[in-house]
Amino acid sequence: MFSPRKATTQNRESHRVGVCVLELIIVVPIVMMFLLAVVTFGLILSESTQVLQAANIGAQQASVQARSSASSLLPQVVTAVDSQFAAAGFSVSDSNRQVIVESSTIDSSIASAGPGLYSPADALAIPADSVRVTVAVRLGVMSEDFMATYGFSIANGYAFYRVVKKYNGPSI
Amino acid sequence: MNSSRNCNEAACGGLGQTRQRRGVAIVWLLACIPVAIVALQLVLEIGWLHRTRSELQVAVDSAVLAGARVWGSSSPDAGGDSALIRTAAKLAAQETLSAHRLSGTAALLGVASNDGPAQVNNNLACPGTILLGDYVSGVFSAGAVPPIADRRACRCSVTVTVSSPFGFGSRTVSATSTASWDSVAVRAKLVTVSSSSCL
Repeated sequence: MFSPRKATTQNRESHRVGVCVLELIIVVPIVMMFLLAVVTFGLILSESTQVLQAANIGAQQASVQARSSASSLLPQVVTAVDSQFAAAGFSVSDSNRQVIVESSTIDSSIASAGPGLYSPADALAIPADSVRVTVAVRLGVMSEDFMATYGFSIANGYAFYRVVKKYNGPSI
Repeated sequence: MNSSRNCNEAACGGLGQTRQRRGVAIVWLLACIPVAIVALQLVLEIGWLHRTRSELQVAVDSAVLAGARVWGSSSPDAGGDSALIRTAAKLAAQETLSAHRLSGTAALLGVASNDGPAQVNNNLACPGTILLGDYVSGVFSAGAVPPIADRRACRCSVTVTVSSPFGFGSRTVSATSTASWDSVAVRAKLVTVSSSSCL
């Protein structure tokens, strides 16, 4: 049976539901943006920590080899770096990862593997009888690019670390 | 009777107050945004500090390995122990440390070598940034002369003040590491120290 009072109440109900939906539509993207920003930063932090560890392992590997030029050290360093990434559960391809080895043990040489993600032009001077390993990895390769939805993509950025180790190999 | 309507009216005090609830979520959102931004900054700050400390630890590890290498490998065939060798060891640690840079900060890791050739183990001051000393069974003694090369150790403690990029002022980050010479493996290695003294 039709009742004017009931119709008015139903209109109010439906209008209230509409307002709630509208508020939800406005609020949810903003809340999600905050949450995704935190999650994305956590992933970047995790990725950069892995890059630091990989650079450290690579430099350690280079420092315990016999004194040689950077090009001779490079294959072993690349293997050590990739093993470190694999052990951490990250799949990093050659096209997204750059390894730079600089050696001052027998000469002043530099060798690089991978794309030109990072140029070591602004690096500090390398001490004598030392090796320096730089590892650069494109962001978004090891983690999801959640913020791309909001126009803040991290895909073009990269994380890099340089680690210097003094020669610690055979005493020859 | 609409149970939903009854519930809403009962819970909210009637339709008059229900109407006032329109836009409440927006008001809460506006009120919470500053809090959320500060919380986000705090999360970023903690993560940034964690990463900075990891970087500093790697740099300090490299420095002590360099110092222990130079001091340890000088004996017995390479001239033995001397004040000159110890100065070179401290310089190697200092140079290796200062060859690192903390990303995200302008801080350079330049520390004093703490070198005093007339002092025991060349330690000008103890506690100090770079110390040489005797290491055995987890105990580092900066004031004791290591009887054998295997007990020669380099210890480095660095504290750096960095400016927060997230508006929280200055922060202090510290790292300490110790390395000793291993004549069997013929290389310096990082060691765990349970007790450290200047005696």
